[in-house]
Amino acid sequence: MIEVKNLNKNFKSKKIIQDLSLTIQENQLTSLIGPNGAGKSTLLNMIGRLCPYDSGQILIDGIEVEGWESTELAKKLSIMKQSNPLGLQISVRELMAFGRFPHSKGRLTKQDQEIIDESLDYLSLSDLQDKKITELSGGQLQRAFIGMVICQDTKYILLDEPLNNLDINHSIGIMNLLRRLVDEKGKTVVVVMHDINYASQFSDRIIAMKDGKLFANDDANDVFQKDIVDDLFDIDVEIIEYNLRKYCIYYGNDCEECLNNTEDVKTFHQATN
Amino acid sequence: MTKKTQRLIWILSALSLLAGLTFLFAFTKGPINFTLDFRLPRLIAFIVVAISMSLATVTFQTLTHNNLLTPNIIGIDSIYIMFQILSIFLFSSQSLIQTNPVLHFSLNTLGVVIFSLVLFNFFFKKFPNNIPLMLLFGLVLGILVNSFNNFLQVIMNPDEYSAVLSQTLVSFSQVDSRVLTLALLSIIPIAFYLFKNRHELDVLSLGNDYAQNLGIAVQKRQLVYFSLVAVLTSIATALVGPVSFLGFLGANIAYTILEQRRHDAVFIVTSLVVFLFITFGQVIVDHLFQAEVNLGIIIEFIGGLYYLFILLKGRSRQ
Amino acid sequence: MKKAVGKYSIGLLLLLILAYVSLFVGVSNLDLSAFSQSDSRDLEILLAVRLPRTVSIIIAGASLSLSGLLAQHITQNRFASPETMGTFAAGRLGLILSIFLFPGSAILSRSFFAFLFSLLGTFLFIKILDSIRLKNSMLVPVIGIIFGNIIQALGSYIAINQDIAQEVNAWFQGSFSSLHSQNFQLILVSLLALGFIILGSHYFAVLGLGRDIATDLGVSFEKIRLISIALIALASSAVLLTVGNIPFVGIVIPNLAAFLQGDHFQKNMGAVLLLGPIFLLFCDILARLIIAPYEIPVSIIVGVIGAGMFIFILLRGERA
Repeated sequence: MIEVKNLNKNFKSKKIIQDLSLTIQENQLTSLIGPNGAGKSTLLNMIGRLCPYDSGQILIDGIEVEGWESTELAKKLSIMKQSNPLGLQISVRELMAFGRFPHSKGRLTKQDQEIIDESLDYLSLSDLQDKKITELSGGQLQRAFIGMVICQDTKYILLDEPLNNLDINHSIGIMNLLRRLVDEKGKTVVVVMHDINYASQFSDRIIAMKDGKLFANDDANDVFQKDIVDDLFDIDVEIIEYNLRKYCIYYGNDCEECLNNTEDVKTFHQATN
Repeated sequence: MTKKTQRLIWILSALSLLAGLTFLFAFTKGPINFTLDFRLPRLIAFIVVAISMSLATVTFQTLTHNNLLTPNIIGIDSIYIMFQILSIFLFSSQSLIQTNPVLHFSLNTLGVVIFSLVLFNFFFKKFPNNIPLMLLFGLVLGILVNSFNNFLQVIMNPDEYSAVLSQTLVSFSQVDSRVLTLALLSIIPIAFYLFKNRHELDVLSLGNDYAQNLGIAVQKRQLVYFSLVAVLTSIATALVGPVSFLGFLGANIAYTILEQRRHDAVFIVTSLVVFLFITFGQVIVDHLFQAEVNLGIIIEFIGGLYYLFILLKGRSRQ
Repeated sequence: MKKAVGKYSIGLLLLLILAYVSLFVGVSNLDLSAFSQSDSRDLEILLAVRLPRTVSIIIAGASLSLSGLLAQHITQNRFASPETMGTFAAGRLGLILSIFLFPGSAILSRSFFAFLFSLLGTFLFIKILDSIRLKNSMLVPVIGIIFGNIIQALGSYIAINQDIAQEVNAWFQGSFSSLHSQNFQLILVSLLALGFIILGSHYFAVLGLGRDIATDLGVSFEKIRLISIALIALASSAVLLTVGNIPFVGIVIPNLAAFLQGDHFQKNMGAVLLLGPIFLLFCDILARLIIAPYEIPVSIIVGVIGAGMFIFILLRGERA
């Protein structure tokens, strides 16, 4: 379990996170949503110990982040930021092998190799394993980075906007993959998301943040209420339900007429799914 | 390491052996013992410089994530020259510090190392995660120190000035054997340590966030590595003078022929390439040009041209 | 607006005071009252030595800082300047080559060579910047200085080999001490460059927004940039040949102006035209006073104070 207690973070004089307290449950896919500047990425980075906090506590399995020995924490929790392409000439397999570093310190054992093979298989990257990462497409690169995290084999996996710059096909592929990590491997996945409909479709739980404060922390379907989403993003949305999941339509009032036609909306969503 | 890499290392090692033997035994006149007494220390000096500049440059480029930088840019050369001038200025060129090579070497190296450590500590505490700022600061400090050096030289007695000048030029020709032993003893543990930690350096080359995620205490480790780079660079500078592009040349050739950055292979290949450059270069200079040209200047010249070539090719994505 | 006028008046007043001091500081004390006698020795000193010197300092200060400002705009990097783009080093190489290839050539043709090379060197560096896209803005001057050092080393190597190192070094030791009424005219060339920069300032201001926006606004980015580089090379090579290498002015003064009043090109133009000369006059007076009756080369004083200011700007910018 990840517990955040009375967390504060300032950058220069700006308050990024204000007195934030929340818990993230195990074996769930949790999405962090909210407008720009809400502090989602900062929170994720602080949980992933990439960024120090000013006051308060972040407990990972009951031990404060700063109290963890760094290698031990790297076996427990991994974080992947918005993947900036590396200028490195390494193969997909070599990249994923880095994920084994906390376990074997770079001297790969037979067991490590097996885990890498398994992960390649899991991600259907086996055919690409000897390809240089500089030659991959955006979706493939993203999968390779997630592969590194899978090889790291941590209980907690944090991802910062993993769908950035991906088309619909690849986005859905990545989200399905994260879902499988939770359902099949029992991982705890926390994702910063921009597209709220993806968040709704794939998450167990939604944490909404605004202005550095907690706005909502609930089951996905409970967060997706018109008044909550309207307030969160300061827009006017329409909530529809489809296949037991809730979705937001957010084209503003101008298009109200066309939104009233539920048939249209349904076809629209079938098309995007 | 792949088969291809291993083969490459074997070939380079064989060439290096050949270069070393040529340097030691080729074109000998008179008794072989006499020649060896003279040439062996120089060969050892080449090895020391090759290893220290190679390890320093590769590590430095990994930490800065930039293949266009050399450790000398943080002002190590200028600081070294400043210590030279200051010690002559304060103690005169006839003092024990100047005439005892071991003392001279130790004090100068120590001065530069202490200076670099203070600089690194300051920046890592005050401006964490801002290595470019530290580099630019070091560079400006270098220019400042150069101005100061010029000033001291203007008001310095001409004889002592020439003593300074002779120490600030790159020279592969004379090395004191006691100094050499000292240098060798200091670089062996450092080289061993860096090689032992090669996997950690591999991870650091991914970027700081990735390294942190994989359980490396990035700030702490960077400080350790930077300090070792400073020690290695100071030793090489104290031995042969300021060599900016030697390590750069070797490292970039290594990256190109290896097509990868794993530190085990890169460390070895860079050191061998640099050693080949110095040793073959010295053989050519000694016997073809009758030692009329300065090898240091030639290597810097080739290195400089190679640097421009890489800049223009725009290969480095940094 | 009123405030700006006030600031400029203070600056102008400071400039005049320093210029006056600069005219009357020196080995021989000048007596103002003696000027009424037309054949006075004092007047001769004033016209032959002091006036050319003071004028050169003012022009050099203005040229270097305005070149720096322009360089910073076209590269969109606040650490660009003639010395961090290889302009100085390449000009020096050009001069060395002209001495070596055409010994005994006239000063004018040598200057042309120096100008041509500084233009080529700067252009080359700009092209390099286009192709490598450095991640961090602070790496631009780092790479630029290494670039300059290589060219400088090339020049030194030729100079040492041809035994003209002494001549060259004497030429480039940044100092105003050897200027007199017969040899300072070359610096007037940089006035020409200054004039063009001021006239074209509205074009250069647009370059600061970057290639895409500039093109969008209907400005031919490449053409204007080439003109800027030529003007920078002209101004700085004229200073380099008359006075020598004066470090940091091109970086520090525009940054000081930006620190005082933001990043607008035309607004800062006025500020650097005042601040540059003030700074250089001040340093030159110091250079003449510190070990009077001898003189320290002004480049050393500028180097020390300039580096200090640069470091201050650098660290302050990071902390704020």
